[in-house]
Amino acid sequence: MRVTGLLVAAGLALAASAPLSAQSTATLTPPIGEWTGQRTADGQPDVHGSYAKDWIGARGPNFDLEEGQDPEEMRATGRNPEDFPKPQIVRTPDGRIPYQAWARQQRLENRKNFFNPTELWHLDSNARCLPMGFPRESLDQGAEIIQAPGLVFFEYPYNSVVRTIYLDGRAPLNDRVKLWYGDSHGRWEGNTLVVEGRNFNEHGWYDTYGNFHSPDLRIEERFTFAGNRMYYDVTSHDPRVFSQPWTAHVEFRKNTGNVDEPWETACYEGERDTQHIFPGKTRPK
Amino acid sequence: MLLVVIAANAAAWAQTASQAMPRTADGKPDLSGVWQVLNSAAYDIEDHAAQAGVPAGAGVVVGGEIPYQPASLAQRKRNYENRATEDTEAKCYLPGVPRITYMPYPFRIIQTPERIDISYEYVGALRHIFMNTPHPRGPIEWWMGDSRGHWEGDALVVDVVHFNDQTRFDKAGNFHSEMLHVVERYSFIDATHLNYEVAIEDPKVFTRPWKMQMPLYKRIETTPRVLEYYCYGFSDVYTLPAGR
Repeated sequence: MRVTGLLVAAGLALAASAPLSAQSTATLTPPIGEWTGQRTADGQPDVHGSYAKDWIGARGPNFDLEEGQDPEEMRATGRNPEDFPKPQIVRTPDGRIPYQAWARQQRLENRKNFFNPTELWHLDSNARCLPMGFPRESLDQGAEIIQAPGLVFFEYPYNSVVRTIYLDGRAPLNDRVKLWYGDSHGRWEGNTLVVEGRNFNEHGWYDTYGNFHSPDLRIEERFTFAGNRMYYDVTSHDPRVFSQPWTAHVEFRKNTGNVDEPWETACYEGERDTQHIFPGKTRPK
Repeated sequence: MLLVVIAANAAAWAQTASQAMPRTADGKPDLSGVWQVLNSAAYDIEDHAAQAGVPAGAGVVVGGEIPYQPASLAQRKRNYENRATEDTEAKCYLPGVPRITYMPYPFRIIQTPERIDISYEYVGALRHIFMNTPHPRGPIEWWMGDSRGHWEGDALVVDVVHFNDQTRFDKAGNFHSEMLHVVERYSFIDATHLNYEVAIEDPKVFTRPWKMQMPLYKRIETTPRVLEYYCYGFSDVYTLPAGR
């Protein structure tokens, strides 16, 4: 996230101009079905192409994942949060993540620190041009899908990240190997790519505001392809942090027109905010 | 003499290449897979003696020496002296092309007919080589340049321009300006080796064009992975509170 605040502002500006009819309501992923379209040389459903969210205001993790959008921030900018869509991303009855008691306090602390940072690690990692991690990257934005025998690649142009999903049944990495983006193993069930992810580090949040997980996080993801849409459901299992597994849901549409060339993304190289926020704590560039 | 030997080697390599070369459905050489170099060019692309932290090494510059203009030689000396703080690798910045190829990290080539992408372990860099299309009009200064590819017979030829003047060729201070023009050639030696040739032009820094050449080795483990090295992502990161 080059400048998270700017993006939040852009999202709000777009939301402000969006007609009420564009408001999202909670939708459901269709049940797993047969894949009737083209197949790749190795027999996978051929789903290659570019997928985007329906509108920029649906960029969940730039807001508070639990609320869809951040009511405090909307009031601060003179808008009534009730007038704006709140796509329900967290699919629990109250739209909230089932944290354990200590973790709920920690999540509030993270959020408080985010607004009044006194340490570098109080900031959202991506606001410092560090990686987002998963599943945030896949909740946040669309991706270009490229397929090769035994492999599916998700390329996220916004942060210029490649995710490699292994379909070849290879052994998982040892638990001690922790990665921002984890280790992903998948299989096709009809029109649905089912992915199991693990080996995550604890440095990346779910969103800008401090929804977090531990390095024990395991995720199960379902990418269901139907009618030029990609439905994404990710279930988080983390017994150190959550009282039970919970699922987040976002949707994407396939770009059927021309797609711009993905040009260079260089975030860290130009990052200057932290040295202004914390003079002396960060190395001048 | 060295040039002749290299040319003879390349010819011998080319003879064995056609039998073993994997091909895509559209008949092009299939570069897909994980590759890596095995040389000391990341330290110094020229021949160099050992010093603390640097093994001795044979360079990858064809003919042995880079044809610097006199003023540029002085700049290289300054670069060498400030390498611990000012080199792009010391800063964990995107290192430019071709340097990222011969850093000691694996990279995965993802090949489609319209685009060949390279996913590098180092800082998670992702490079797109757009096939059979022109460069966008400049001036543009990108860390990794703008890459446009085409096939010349069985060689993938990639023309790269629109660089900035911040990246260097190695840790020894070898450098270029924003006028850098790189032409890479990737061609199979056999199924698990590529011949990687790089032509370098930069009229602001060098007296004439020059070349690098080295083999690329396929990572032949049955399940190779390109993992992560976000070298800027280790300090002051969020962690769980103590005891959790």
